[in-house]
Amino acid sequence: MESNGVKEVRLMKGNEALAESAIRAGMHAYFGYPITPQSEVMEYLAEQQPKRNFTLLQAESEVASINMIFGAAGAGTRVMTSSSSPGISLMQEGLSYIAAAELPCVVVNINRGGPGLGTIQPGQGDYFQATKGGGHGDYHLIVLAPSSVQEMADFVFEGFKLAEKYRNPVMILSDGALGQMMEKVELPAEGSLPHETPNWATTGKTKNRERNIITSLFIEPEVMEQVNIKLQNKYQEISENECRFEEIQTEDAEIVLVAYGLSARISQKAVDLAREKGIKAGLFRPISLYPYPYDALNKLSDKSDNFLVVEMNAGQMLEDVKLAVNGKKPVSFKGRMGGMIMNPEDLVEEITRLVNKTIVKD
Amino acid sequence: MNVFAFFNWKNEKKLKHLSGTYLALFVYSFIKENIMIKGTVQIAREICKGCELCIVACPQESLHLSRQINLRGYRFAELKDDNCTGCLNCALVCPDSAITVYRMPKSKTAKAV
Repeated sequence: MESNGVKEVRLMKGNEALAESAIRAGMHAYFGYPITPQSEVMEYLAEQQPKRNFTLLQAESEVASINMIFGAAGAGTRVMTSSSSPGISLMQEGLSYIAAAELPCVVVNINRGGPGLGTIQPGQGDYFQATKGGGHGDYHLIVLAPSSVQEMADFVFEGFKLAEKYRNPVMILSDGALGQMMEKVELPAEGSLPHETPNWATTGKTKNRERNIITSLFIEPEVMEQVNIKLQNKYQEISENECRFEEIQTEDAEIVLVAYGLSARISQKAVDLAREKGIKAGLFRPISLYPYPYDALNKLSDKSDNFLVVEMNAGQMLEDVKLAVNGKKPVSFKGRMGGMIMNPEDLVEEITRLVNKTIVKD
Repeated sequence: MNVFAFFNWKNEKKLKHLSGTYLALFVYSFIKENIMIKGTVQIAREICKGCELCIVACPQESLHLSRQINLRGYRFAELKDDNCTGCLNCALVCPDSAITVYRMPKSKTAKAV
């Protein structure tokens, strides 16, 4: 595949930027099922499919989608699927199987309000499901959280790279607002992520090699334990090497907001407004939710006096922040649920209240 | 011992060890060829579901899962070594009665057990 080496700047919707980026990343196949607010991913791919080189199939359900992903990944192809919260729930068994069989793939969750069938507005209530399991067994997904349309595009490339490097499924945890909003995006060059069929894949047995077997069944417990140890060692390696985060104005911050995705965009605005009011606020934005940047956040708790976790849920990443800060400083929470989005002004009010409380205490 | 003292070899201990090993090997193959019961198994490929109970039960560790799959998509159990003794453990433990065991007594005619 030749690279035309040209980066292209376009005004695009998040879902469509994701889809276009996937084609440019050399995705071989996409198996999906529609659900608001991510249907545009497949619709865009369907429109492009006749002129570009990949396979597209609408499966009969999300359960079918993820199992198609399992099969295609086992055959050594670069595959992606996307869904939203209720559909991602349907994929959990498949994700556990994919992780156990050590197969690479990218799964995108355009998080919507829940629980249950919920609403179509953005939410962040799938944090636990994405980072702590969701499916059964001791496995982890590598989870990347974009907070702009640019990152929606970039993280597809990152996702495929990480998935293939570690032979592990990668989740891009986005939300309904990022999927729907339109921003300027510099699309990565087509062909800049070459693909080589791995030697463990089921590509058809030839004379010069043993038959390859892709399975997640290891019925002898001695063998299963060894598989688990291998997976844990892999996750240890991932934790040491793939933590990603961004710090904005945290060097002198007396209060640090911790947020990802859309909440991070809102928090960024709140930080600016607070600084105008004279409060030294900062933002710690985790980009990899698994592995979570515990160490970096822990270091920050030596300098800053207050932490405010901002999420569109009832307090999920809050627990990881508390773990990271480890009791050194107070950790507060501001959240909206059910698809509601907080205002920067509400956050500034909360920041002011917390900072004044600290001052009054002293 | 006197014989070795006579030869006065530096690696006297090694020679003792070697002799012992040769003797043991001879006794072992004698037993294996002439006294030990020999057997073999036939595992019904399409019935086997790859549950691995026979593999764990075999005291000779002669069974393993094939690299091929049967028509139902299961890897089936098969013999990997030829040191089967016809002990019947595998057939007794198989939940699907997929195994037939053949045992060859000293008269060298195979009898299905």
